Amino acid sequence: MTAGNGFPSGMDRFAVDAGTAEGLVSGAVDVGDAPPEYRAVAAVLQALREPPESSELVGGPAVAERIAATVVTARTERAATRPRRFATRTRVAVASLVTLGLALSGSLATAGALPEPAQRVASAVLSKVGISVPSGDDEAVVHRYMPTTAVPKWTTVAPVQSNPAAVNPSAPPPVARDEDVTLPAGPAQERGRTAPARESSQPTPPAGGDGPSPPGTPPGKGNGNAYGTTKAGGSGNGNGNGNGNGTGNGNAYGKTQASGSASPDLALDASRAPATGSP
Amino acid sequence: MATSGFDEVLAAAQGGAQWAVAVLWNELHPRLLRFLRGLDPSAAEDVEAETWLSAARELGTFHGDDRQFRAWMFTIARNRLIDWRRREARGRSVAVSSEVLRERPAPDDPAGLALDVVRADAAVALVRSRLPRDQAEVILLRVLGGLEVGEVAAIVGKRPGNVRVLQHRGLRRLAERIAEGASERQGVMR
Repeated sequence: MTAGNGFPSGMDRFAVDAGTAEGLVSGAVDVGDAPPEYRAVAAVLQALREPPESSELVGGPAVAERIAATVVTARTERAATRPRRFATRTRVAVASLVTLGLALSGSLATAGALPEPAQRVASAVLSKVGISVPSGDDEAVVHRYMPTTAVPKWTTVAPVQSNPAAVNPSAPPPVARDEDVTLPAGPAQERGRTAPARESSQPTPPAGGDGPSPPGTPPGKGNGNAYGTTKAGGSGNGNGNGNGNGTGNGNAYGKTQASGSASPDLALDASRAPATGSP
Repeated sequence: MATSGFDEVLAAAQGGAQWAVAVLWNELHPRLLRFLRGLDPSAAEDVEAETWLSAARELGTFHGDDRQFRAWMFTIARNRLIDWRRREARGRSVAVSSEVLRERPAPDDPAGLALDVVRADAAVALVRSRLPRDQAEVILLRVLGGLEVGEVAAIVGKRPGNVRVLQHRGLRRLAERIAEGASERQGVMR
């Protein structure tokens, strides 16, 4: 049974395998070698590959001259723009580095984390433009966690300069300044505890003026106070119990752990120690 | 063009030597023009000129052999044609030149199917008129550019498998249309 095209029904007369198709396109299959249904296709593809006629190459020299001139011009422009492009890139890179450096040092200066001389310079420079950053000379105002009440809160603590040698000359000299504050840990430490002035419920009026206050007296008008246990950095611990109070800018109150090598507890009247700090 | 000879010609052309540019132009100009005529006869001449100007501007940056150079040139030609079509689409005017209509044979145009002696331009017109654009593009790139499936795939932005499918369908469709035209021609002559 044949279809109208003379091929058996169901047979595709235009079917072509991939190899033949590839050969037709690549020119490997010639017109004579192509399947009958694809001979015309092979002829068309062969015609596409025909070498150019002379009419197709008319004006070649003039066109080539124009193209060559464009090549030379482009090459010259490229040579001229290359250093400029390099310089631009270098400038951008340097500007980026400078900006990054300024931002970094500004951040460090704001945090007070620069080395002292640099911090001093940064503070001086930035203060001229109205930006206040800590200077290297200041005693650092340290924000410590002070559980003074049942509700924990952050308190500004003026560093306490304890001087155990003033009380006990045999005590080793302090190795480092107070750097850390530990939490009050026991009832013994509660003795010296007094609520800060603003939160005080004690009937005793706040001590005013300069000078030491008796133990148990709530802090005076100062803005900061420290009480509890202060532990100085360094090796070993020395314990000093005492009350300190200072009006004005700060006070130390409570238990101070003086730094130094291990030594017996010493009674330290912290009120003698000057309470320093800034508001 | 042998690869070693091509290297010398390319180096000279990159230096702006006119003879070397002429060698490249004679080699590729007919193929590029046929390719562009197979896709858009109305724009072929202008687009081909733009192609050479673009290539001249970037010739100094090209590195590769003659096969890669052909692929590079056909890529530029195709991109310039796409640019041309976009420009035309923006300022579209419906006017179609009579030349274009003359070049586009009717489906039953016996002249287009006289395959005893097929000239290159007639073959280009036949491919263009009988095949969808993507199939025509693939076949023209493979035949005129002498490019492999992978190279054509890179130029047209398709997978090699898709290119093979387009090529296979294009050949089949071309064979079918030519056979249809031949049978109609025989019917007319009877």
